[in-house]
Amino acid sequence: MNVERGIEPHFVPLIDDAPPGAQASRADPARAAEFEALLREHDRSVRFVATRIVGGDVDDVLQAAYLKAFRRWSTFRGEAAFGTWLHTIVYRTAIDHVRTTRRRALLHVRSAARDTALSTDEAVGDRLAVEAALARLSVAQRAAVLLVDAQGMSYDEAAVVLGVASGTIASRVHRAHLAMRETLERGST
Amino acid sequence: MNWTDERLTTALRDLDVPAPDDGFWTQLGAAMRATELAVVPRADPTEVDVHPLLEHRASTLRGRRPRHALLAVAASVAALVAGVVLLARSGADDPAANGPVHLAITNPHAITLDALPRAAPPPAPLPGGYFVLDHGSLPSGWAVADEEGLVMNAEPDGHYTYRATLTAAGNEHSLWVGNLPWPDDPRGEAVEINGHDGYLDQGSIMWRLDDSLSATIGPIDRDIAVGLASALAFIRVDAMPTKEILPTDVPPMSDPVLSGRLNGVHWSLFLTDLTTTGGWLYIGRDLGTGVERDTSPGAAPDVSATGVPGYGAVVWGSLPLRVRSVRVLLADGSDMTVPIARTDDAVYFAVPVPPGLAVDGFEFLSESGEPIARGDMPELPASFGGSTPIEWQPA
Repeated sequence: MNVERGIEPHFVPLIDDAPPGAQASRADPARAAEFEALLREHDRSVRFVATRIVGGDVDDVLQAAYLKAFRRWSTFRGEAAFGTWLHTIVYRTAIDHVRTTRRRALLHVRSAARDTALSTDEAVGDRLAVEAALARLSVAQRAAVLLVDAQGMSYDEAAVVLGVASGTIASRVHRAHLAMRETLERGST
Repeated sequence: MNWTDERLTTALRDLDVPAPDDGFWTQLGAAMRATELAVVPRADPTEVDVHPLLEHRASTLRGRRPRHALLAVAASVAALVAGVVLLARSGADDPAANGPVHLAITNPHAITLDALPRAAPPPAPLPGGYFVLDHGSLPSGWAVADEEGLVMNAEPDGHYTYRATLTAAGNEHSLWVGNLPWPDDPRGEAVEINGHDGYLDQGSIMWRLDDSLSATIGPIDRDIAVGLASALAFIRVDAMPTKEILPTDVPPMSDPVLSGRLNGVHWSLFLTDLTTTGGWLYIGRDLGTGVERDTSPGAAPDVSATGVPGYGAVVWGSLPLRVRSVRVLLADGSDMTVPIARTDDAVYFAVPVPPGLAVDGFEFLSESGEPIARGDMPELPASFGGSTPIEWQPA
């Protein structure tokens, strides 16, 4: 993993345009450590979703997103839970990555469908089959179903992360279920 | 056993999470410690504060051609556009007849330039036309759900793409054809598609169509990818197909910070992050586009034009806090000041530019009305949607 490839961390000058009272400073090591501890708490959750959007580039995308979040931490005012806020930044960074590397990142599908039939463990088989069905969804539907079904977010929370209306989340999750079920049931016959 | 919601949800929750690479946290920690931060006192949560422009000064900063017709423009705008105020005609010697007209829109939810005369010729199509899918080449059982042309970066470094949603057996597959650079190190298994290089990756296939164009389909089953790619044919046409959008007066979300009409269609701009880190622009209800707006203190301004074929474009973005107003510079010498949305972190603006309205560019003004920077209106190719960045040019 190398932050100098993939998504370049975006360091910005602070001399101009800073709000009144803002001062530029190097990050306090203790402050960085505090933020890293927060990131470690939430890493598994955001990595779970981001992996299924950007595939093998997930470490690069998370490095860029985490640095972005760190720079903005002073502006985080707690209207949303930290996890929701972090998910939002990671999702936007992942979507930007997909846009800029669209050719490679259209989807990173795990070819699990065939493995499903070979598996004797039903739970493992389900996971593999679901992984393959997920990969066939649009990124928007995939993100919605992962946040709501797998991460347990409410429609409102997922709406904040994905930047759409709650009703849109409900619609995306519903359509995702239909599409996944169709894929899964067709694959099991 | 059927795939019930419970079984589906259980399987989703049980999916694996890959571990970070070795050194991930070490490298991140080092990068964070090396990062320069803007230390900003934490403030109490506040509502987004939208400041309509309340005043406007007559200006003769730019030498512009006098236009008698501008008076008629002003009259039509005043009559037809709610919230537009004719504020001044400049020209100290002969203010009644010759000076350029300066207008301002004061209502942040009635931002439209639809009533202005549109004399600009339509943008020229790209030389050589456009490469799009020949629907007749689709195998049996396949259909095109929608298709459109997108610009990701207008000239001179133009990247243009044709996008279509293909459907088969209830599944959706995206097809992209464009002039994006061919990757130096393509991933996946090398394949040949109609005599051209191609690569079959897990879940997608890409192949060259000629020296400058390539196509990608994903998601796609490996078993059918090569057959499908080989079957598809592409044709040159004079204009990209356009995507219908639903005109509506109902915003897709509540509380847009700025809104108005673009060629008769409602548009709206939302701040979608509770910490005001991003904006999301909708033209109509179904066509939404959002771009990460880095509004952290000190972040660079980010301005782009987002277009919909046949409807024009909305020029929008996030700006430094020191920008207090935005002025649209019309090619006929007049100008229009538009409201901004101001948050703790950034200033947002959005200007709808309908087809045929000749706009030269935009000026970003300080509190004293002095230009801080300027952006030029890009020439978006005919029949393309998508977004293209606009360069921030310090004054």
